[in-house]
Amino acid sequence: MEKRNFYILIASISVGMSIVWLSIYGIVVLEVDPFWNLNNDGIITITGNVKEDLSLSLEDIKSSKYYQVEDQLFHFINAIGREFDEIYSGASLWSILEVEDVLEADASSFQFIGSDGFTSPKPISLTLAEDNLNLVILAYERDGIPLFEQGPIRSIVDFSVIPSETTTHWAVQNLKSILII
Amino acid sequence: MENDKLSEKAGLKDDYRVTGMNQEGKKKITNLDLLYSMIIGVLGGIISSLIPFSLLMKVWYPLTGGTQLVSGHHVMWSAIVYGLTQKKKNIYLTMLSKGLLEFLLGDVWGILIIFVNLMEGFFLACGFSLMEKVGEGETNLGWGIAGGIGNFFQAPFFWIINQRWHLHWVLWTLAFMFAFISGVLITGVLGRTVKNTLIKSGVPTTF
Repeated sequence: MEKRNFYILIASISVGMSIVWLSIYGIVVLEVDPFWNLNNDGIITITGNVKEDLSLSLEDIKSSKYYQVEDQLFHFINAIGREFDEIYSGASLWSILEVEDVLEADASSFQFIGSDGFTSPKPISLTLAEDNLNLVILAYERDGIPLFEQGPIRSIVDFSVIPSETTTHWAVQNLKSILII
Repeated sequence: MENDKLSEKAGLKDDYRVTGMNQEGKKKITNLDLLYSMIIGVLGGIISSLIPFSLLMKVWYPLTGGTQLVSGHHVMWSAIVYGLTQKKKNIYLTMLSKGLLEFLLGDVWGILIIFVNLMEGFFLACGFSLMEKVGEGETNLGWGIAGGIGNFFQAPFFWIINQRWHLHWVLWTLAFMFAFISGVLITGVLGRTVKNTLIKSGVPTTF
């Protein structure tokens, strides 16, 4: 083997090994489950400052015991200030928390966590979800079509709820859990 | 002179503008250069905008940022055009036409996407210049590293613009590594293979 090709081989193996170990480290430290949603049931967990952890499947979230928001127009702003609208359907987050009565008395805020290690940047107040029943939802449809690569469940928060923030950062795809703080 | 002789031989009057096929060794942009840049740029723009390549990754790679592993196709088009024409200006032309189309197709980054395309083109041109200086201008290694350089910088650019400070450092590191690797494999090695196949199949070059 030529010396040059040997160096290429060594460099490729080093980079490959680094990626394998970094991926394993990321999966462990971020508690990512590679087999989450294998059955496409989209189970999400409400955890943290709650009386008891609550797991909900896609079917649970769609059920009529929670307040369902249908074809609601949401306004977004992204990191470069571009504003746009999209139509989503889903269950109101506050309605789920209220019906299931999971919150501890001192629970004050919540944060979204995706199945791929992505999280919303910081917690936002539970009062915002309570005051904006229609505008903080766990979405399962966009334009009347079930979410595919973004879902099965995606958190959606309207611009008017957090006007000083980049709204798209709270639209967490492949939502896995909601951390109550 | 060569063109004149050819024209005479073919019985043609030579008071028309010749195409790139007879422009060997010239630095001017030819009609063929423009055609390649526009056609391949538009093809790249359509494919980049409308085909969700990221789905390929989401199926089997669980961490956010993994989609960078397929991002190299954004820059591959200009690498192909460079291979056919050997003019770095055409890298910018290709990326400009691709960026314009992505903008017109409603890219979420708005007009910024044109700048991003030109930035990718700039770094690809830098990569090719560097590789040509070290004598690797036509090898798989040279094209791979040039492609890696060309595709790498969009990743930190987007992650910084997106203000993803709150995400774990391991996600940042992996995304950037994936961007470089995708550049090596898709922009560089695949781009070179496509370019060679096109030349072998009779597509005229302009260098």
